[in-house]
Amino acid sequence: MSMPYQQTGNQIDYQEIKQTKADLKAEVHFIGQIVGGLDFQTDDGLFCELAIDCGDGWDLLQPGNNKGIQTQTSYANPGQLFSWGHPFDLHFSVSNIIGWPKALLKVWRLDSSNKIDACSYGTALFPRSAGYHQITCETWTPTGENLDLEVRKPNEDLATNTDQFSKFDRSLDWRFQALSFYMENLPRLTTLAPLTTDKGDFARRKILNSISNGRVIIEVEVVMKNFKRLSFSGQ
Amino acid sequence: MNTRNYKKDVSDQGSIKGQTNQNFGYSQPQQFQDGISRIQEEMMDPRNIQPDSMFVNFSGVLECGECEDEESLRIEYAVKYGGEDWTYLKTSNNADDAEPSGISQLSTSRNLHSRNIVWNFPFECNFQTKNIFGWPQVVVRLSGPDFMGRSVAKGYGSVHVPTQPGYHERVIRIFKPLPISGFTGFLGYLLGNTAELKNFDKVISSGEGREVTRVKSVGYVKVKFHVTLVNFDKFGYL
Repeated sequence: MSMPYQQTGNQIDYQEIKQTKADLKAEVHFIGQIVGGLDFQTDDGLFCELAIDCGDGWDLLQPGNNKGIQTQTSYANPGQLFSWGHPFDLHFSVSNIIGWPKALLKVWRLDSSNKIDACSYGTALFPRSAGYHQITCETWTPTGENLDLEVRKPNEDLATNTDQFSKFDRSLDWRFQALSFYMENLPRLTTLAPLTTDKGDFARRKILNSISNGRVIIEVEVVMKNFKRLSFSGQ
Repeated sequence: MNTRNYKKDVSDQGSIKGQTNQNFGYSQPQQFQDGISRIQEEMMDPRNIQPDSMFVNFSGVLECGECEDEESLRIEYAVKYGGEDWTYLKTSNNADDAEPSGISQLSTSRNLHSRNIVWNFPFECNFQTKNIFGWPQVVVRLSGPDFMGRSVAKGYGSVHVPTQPGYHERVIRIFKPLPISGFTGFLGYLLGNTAELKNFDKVISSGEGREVTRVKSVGYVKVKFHVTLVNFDKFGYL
């Protein structure tokens, strides 16, 4: 039977409810928390910043502002979890599923002289099926740039290039690493574009060199609306 | 008025002089023997009724946990939910509570070898809602006696209630706020004013204003949830 009836009060009144176009809009809720970080191998305090990045067809309905999340600063013994425990609750309205939301993570370090510095970066993709998921996002720290790759023309193959110096991988640039050793700060990304495929200059990521760092653990529950009705998978 | 003559031909003007046909060309609806029309039966079928709100009923147990080297701990919980769309339904058992919360017994670990403290503290909540945003979360606070026997906070944590129906187990990571400096920490230890959160349920559940706080992880608490969702499929979820 296709005609829904409204039950009002104790008496059943027959009112025809017309289903409008908005009722069949797909919506997704991401409810969870940034649990903490593991394996960062540092004595300093760490906190995490999270920015949500999604395609154009995704409209963040609630919370009203998308200014990002910054967690508390946590200290941990070796092998212990840096516990951030920061809850989040996102409500998206989906008109186009291209650009499924991702969390761009930036882990900061707070050292003993109360100075903050960027520690590492990571991209965590939100799950595409309903239910409880525990996401582990490995993070990396940039150590330098390999600028030779910029000079080369975009479609030029490495093997065909006859220049003898370009055959060596200049990724472990000693100047950059020496500077960061003495200044005790590693390079930072000027923009978060290398983390996301949606916007901006993701292709520039190939000039980066990085070193591995700890992992961030996020627990998230995904609740989907109307995905089954619209024949999208996942619900 | 003779309503039982519906099967008669409506064009029959009646054999008795002066009697006119009451129907004026309209036919009576088809009626079953028990008096309920087919339309009315469809209207009362629960599958056809569009409800106006969803319900979330969950119950659970705050089972056990560990916190650094603590021997005796008490656990308090509060269920925080998004304000406007969600309504907490009080039952007759806990009609006094404006907000769902509770305080458990003070429990001690069994022996020196294990720091596992068991509360086995049950809770149950019912909510009515029209929106998923503001899904309830359980915020806990561990407290116990310090060296002088005063009750101080030992840790905080939070977890979201599972969104899928059925049985789920979760682990709440517990953290403790650190004092601002070594001296205030020492003084607080002596006086019983260790670093605590005022209104811990609001601060931990929302995540606002926590950017400059410093914490240390101290342990975990295991929780078990049993969740039932009502009317979620009528609204397009599930």
